[in-house]
Amino acid sequence: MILSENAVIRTAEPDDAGALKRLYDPGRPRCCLLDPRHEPMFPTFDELREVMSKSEMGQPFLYAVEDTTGMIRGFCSLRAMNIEACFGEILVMFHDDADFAAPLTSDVLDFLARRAFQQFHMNKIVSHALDNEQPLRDALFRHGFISNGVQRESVYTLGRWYGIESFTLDRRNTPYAREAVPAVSPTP
Amino acid sequence: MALKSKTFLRRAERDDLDTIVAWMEDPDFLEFLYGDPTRSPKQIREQIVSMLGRAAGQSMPGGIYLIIDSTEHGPIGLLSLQRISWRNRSCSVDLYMGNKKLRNHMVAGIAFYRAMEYCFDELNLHRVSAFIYSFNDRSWRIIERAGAKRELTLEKHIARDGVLHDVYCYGLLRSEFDAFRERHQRSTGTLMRSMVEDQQAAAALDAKATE
Repeated sequence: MILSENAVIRTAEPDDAGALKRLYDPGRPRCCLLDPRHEPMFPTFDELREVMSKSEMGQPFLYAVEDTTGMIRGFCSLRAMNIEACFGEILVMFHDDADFAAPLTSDVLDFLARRAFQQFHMNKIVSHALDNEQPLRDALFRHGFISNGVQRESVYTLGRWYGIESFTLDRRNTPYAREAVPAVSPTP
Repeated sequence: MALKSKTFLRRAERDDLDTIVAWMEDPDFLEFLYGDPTRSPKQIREQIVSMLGRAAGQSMPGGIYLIIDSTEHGPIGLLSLQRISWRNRSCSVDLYMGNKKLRNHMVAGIAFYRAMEYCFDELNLHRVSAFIYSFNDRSWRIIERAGAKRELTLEKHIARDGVLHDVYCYGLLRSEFDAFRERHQRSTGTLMRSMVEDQQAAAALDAKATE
């Protein structure tokens, strides 16, 4: 469990499935909840419970983010995408968009960056947002992420097209830059 | 015109298995596309069988594998449409030219154009994506010529031989492909046949094989 000034970040448990399910809101598409084909998913409570009981290579897959009163405000995740190229993907989602502008988000992004760069020695982390997710985009920019571009008209829901913007935070642009390690072993 | 009559696309069949396994074992395939060099031929074969089997029986498959075939050279490449989303009307495309002698020819460009015709005119897709490594300039030049836009540049995103390379994501919308076709109507009209003609060429080849 990570105790920060504004948040408690802990491994999500199957009992948190109800809080996670509330994020799958058909009227509020979120990029991090799309499937690999970029289609909205609507999992059942039981499916979510099952997912939350799993881990990724022995590491927790999903973290619950609580405020200082113990209320779950949202979830975050760091998942390995390409071990050889040493990067991972982060997911951050809150029930209330206003939390993206709150100090809570800084604590969450700092936690994920520390975990990626210090603990797993990744070279960069990536994140994605639909073009309606302005609060998330603002939070990523505030924390040093840069935009890599937009995959135009990639998602169709609620009667319109959405683009998917990709963001990157390179470890060289963080306080963890000095700990840089080669991406892969030098070839003999 | 030689190109008109000798190159066409068709669905991959079980009979193509040995050819596809040989291509997927080629170091070039691993370098330009994907795969694990430690996989055994048996594992590759099983993967391909599952790919072919999965698409065949479904009316709305998640992936379609096309062979770039030629009456003169036989199978010359593999073109796969993957992650097909029927909701978003999108897919991603990979193209591999197994016949290395023909890589510098127009065959890859024509095959890609044909695949786009298939995606937009037959499957009624809205968008086609392609992730291409920066060092594979021949591939991204082909897709750029077809009117696709480079939408993402993912820096140091893929490792090959201990070196990190950038990855480009290209997106081609139906309206952009239509505009490309209109702009190049004269040249494409003389070079390209319709999908119907492709099917006729494939059927002719089948008939010849059964004789």
